[in-house]
Amino acid sequence: MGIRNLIAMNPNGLPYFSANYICPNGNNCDVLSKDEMVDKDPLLISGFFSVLTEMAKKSGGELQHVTFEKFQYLANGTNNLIMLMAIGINDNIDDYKNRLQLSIDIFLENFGSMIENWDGNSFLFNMYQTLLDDADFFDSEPQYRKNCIDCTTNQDCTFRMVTGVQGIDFKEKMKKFPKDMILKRFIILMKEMFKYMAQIKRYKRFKRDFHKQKEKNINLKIVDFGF
Amino acid sequence: MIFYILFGKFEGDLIAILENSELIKKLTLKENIDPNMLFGMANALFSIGTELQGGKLKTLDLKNFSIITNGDEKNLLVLVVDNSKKYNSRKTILIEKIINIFNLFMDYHDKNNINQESFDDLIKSLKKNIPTFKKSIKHLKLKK
Repeated sequence: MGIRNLIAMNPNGLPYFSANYICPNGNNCDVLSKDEMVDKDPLLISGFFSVLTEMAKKSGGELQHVTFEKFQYLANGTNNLIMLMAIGINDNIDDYKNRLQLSIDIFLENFGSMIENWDGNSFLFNMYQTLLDDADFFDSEPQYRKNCIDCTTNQDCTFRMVTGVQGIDFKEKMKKFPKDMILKRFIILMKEMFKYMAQIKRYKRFKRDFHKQKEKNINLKIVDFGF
Repeated sequence: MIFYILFGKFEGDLIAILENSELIKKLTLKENIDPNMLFGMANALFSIGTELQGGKLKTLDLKNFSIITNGDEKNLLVLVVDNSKKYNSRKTILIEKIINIFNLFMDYHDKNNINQESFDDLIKSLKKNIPTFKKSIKHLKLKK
């Protein structure tokens, strides 16, 4: 089912950024908070998790994972940032823990200095979605819709990030081939490795280009990109 | 691996606190774990699950322990268990059996109330339903 919500929030429960990747027919789920669910949910969810995080600290330490009947939340963060990711109930948690960490790393690399003295303006973080896209956070395996125009019913848009050999899709692919077909398994393994390396390379290139542009124009605001 | 079994009503106090005090002492978590706060937290999460369109709360993993819950419209059962990796498979068994455990508590609450007299019978039934946890259950004491 994949990632359903991603919320970056401060420890007081105010969301820096929130995005929903489930959409009713026709809505563009690559645009922030456009559909009915996210319109009402981010503040509720982030406020609630803020309280929960505080309670958790008092009674047993960091909050890591919450499972409801229909979906589950993963949480992680630093002093100034808590990242929440909602995924499907049958999704492999370990597979998504890496992505959660990646989302935190991308956020802190690009907005880390802004969140220390944040004035409450969430517009500053709109660029985050583009940064995630450019890092291939949501990739085309096994089925990728940049938006939900193709959806014919109220179904989930399936966003997947290729995480190389540890990806669940890779495991599925490997299952198709008997263990004795060593050559075919090796080819798949190599393909996945290259895909993963290419993903890392694209992200590094994007990051480098972005910082170059920023050096040329000191006054350049990150929110000016694409929005 | 079971620290607490908490049973109570959504609107009201805890009816029963079953505690493994030795285990809590060993892990030096006593100061950090407040069963009332844990029950309150699970209670809030259980209710808000509907608001989040996610259904009832099933599990909550904190750094030092996990909470496993089940309930109906009025009552809530909370298991507080060790979440060390070595107990992963046992935790899965408890998640699968939580409905049975909840039903047991409901039976005892309806018929006898959960008091020291009926506690031994409840423990026997628990051991019968989740034989894997006989040792853990043996150390549980009724605190309330």
